Amino acid sequence: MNPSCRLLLIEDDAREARAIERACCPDPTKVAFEIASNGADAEEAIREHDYDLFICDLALPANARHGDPAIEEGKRLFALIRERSPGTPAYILSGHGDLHMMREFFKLGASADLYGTKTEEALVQFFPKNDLPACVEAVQAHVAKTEVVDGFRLEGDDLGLSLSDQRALKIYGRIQGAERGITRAFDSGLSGSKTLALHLRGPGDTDAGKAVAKLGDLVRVAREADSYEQIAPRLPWGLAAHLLTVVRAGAGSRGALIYEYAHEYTGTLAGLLAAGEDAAAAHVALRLREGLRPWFDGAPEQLVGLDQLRRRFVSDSGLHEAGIEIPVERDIDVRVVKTMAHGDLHGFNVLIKDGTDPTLIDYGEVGEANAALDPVTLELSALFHPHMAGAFGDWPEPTQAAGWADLDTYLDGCPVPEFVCACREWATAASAEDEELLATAYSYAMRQMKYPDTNKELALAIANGAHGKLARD
Amino acid sequence: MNDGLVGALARIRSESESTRLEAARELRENASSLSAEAQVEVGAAFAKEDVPWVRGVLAEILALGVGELEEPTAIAAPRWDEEIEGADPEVARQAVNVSTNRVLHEVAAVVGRARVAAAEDFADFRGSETERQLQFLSDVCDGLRVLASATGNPQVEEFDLRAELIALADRVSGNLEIPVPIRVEGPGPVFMVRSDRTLLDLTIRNLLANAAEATESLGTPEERAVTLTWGISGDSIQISIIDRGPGPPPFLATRSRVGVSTKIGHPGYGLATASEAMRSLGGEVFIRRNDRGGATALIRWPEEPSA
Repeated sequence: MNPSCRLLLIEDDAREARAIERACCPDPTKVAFEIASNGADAEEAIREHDYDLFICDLALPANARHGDPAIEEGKRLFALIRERSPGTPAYILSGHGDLHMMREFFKLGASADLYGTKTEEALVQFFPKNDLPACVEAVQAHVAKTEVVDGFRLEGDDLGLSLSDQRALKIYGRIQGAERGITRAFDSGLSGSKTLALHLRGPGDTDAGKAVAKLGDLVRVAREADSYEQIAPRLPWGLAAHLLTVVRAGAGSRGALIYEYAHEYTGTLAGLLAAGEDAAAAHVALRLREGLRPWFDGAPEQLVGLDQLRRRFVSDSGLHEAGIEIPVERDIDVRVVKTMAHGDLHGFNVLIKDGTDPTLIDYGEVGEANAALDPVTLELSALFHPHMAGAFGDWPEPTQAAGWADLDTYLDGCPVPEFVCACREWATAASAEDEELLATAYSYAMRQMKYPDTNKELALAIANGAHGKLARD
Repeated sequence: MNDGLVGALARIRSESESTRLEAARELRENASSLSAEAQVEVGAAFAKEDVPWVRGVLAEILALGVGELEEPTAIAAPRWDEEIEGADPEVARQAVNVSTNRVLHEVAAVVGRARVAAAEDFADFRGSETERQLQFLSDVCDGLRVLASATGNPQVEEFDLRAELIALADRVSGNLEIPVPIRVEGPGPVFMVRSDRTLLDLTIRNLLANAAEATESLGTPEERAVTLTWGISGDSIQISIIDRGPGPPPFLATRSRVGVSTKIGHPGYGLATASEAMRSLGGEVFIRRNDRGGATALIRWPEEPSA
């Protein structure tokens, strides 16, 4: 059996490290134990790998060449751990431990349900080195409880879930009192997140509920949860899946947003587009337009600079890093409709039920924006989302993309023309003027430059074409 | 002291509750004019007062009026550097801090490993003399850690002293084997100060523990009760911890060299550390005998202006 508890010990004294490893993990089959003996090695491990527990000394050398231990190095690593893995327990084991310092650590440490037991556990603990037995006891308890979490069975589609992703689902399942969970795939999202259906079964194989689980990087999960809290009252009735709970701890650097499963979802809008179900996809776009109408109706207009609009999508430095020369923007002003927007309305964030009935998930980017943002994103993400690459064959050619504004030319050979038309009509109707539409397409296309796996030639063609029209007008 | 105050001092022993309350309020108004003898009288009245609102006013007087307490009424708590004759106090404080941290760094890890190894090596380790001695070594490390903190540089912040003391009293009460009620009485509902919470915490924790230990042999919870009060006197913030035990510990009167006479586990060790902590804040710790029995531990430190 592979060890399921992944532990990183940051300790520069080899003798101490050996003693801790032997005491904490008498059974090496249960724990994957790694040791970093200096700041640089520890930082690399924290950034590159996922762990279920950190044990961190404070006085550490910065790297293998600089042997003088400094408490500042331990504090820096601790801050990095809290930033990258805020839901993972971190134990400070130090020979120093001024009480002021201990108070600071306790202030930073929150508590969380790490094992799905509905009990809050401290995320940060401080152990003086003379109290190593207490630290050993805490580590052994954590390993044992993690093993219990891993005993929760997950069945169903092989989704290639990482150990941390599986654990996030298991923690939620245990909170619900379930004994096993059955997973069913939807699709993968843009930011490395995964969305799936989870059917929980309780004792005696009773139904313990269904949910839509969106797995993702913990920092992004927290941002989306916070955003949801702010915008929940303004979400369009009947269009939005409501957030039930958030798994924020116990699953390494990953977390889960658990949305209500009110209907039998059959897939995503992205799936419809990839399957060439144009009419159905167009109908979904129409339903989204209707559903989001309360956000747009009566919204005020505002004059903004093109540079201002584009920077919402990608910063100047982002474009410089990608080696893109920014065209002249500052003399171009655009009148836009200022409204609420989903902000990340790609096809994988639209679940489908009853054939063409959409439900929105992922509210991490919801906020004020210009009205054309959502329909333009919906249309163009079908071209640029990494998981949609190649879905439409060679369409559109870069020359067609350059004429994005001219639908007759642009739609030639398009496998989903009805969908594109539905999005474009929505964007045109929502915009203050045609320039808003062009400026939004320009900005969205420029944003693609910062992603490593997008079709840059196509994106530049759209951006340059739109910019050319804006500059001429 | 004027005749009015002399009369008020007499009336706080009245059998009439309203007379005592009125007298206590009058004394509170003039707390800064009270002599040391008058404060002893107030302390005695406080010790036998059972009416909470009268006790509250008397407690405020005690917290407000300790500025005039000097030896022999009050005894300064022992300090760690008393045996370094002629040393500059600041240099001595730093020397204690650096050497304590260094010793701790060298010893703590070895003690921790020894405890773990002994538990693995000896089947009957639990409850053994080896375990007790290793635990004692570990306690020494904990004591050194507190001392290192007490002699470190203060980290000043603004906070509500009243809320801090209430929380601290709860924590100390929760850790006592024999229940000792800790009454927290003083001005509020908010009492903002600028100070070092950690140093205050360890000072008051030590003094409260000493007070609770002094009273734990007394019969009823009422007799065992310890009162924690606070207030401002002149430019200082003062906290009093008042108990009804046997009075100041004998070692205070007989001590000569703290480093020799004070051992870990002995109340004087904590008192010396508390004293160091307050000295880091520019403050002091005094212990005095109450007229009607028991001891009052007084700590005071200069008030820092708000940021």
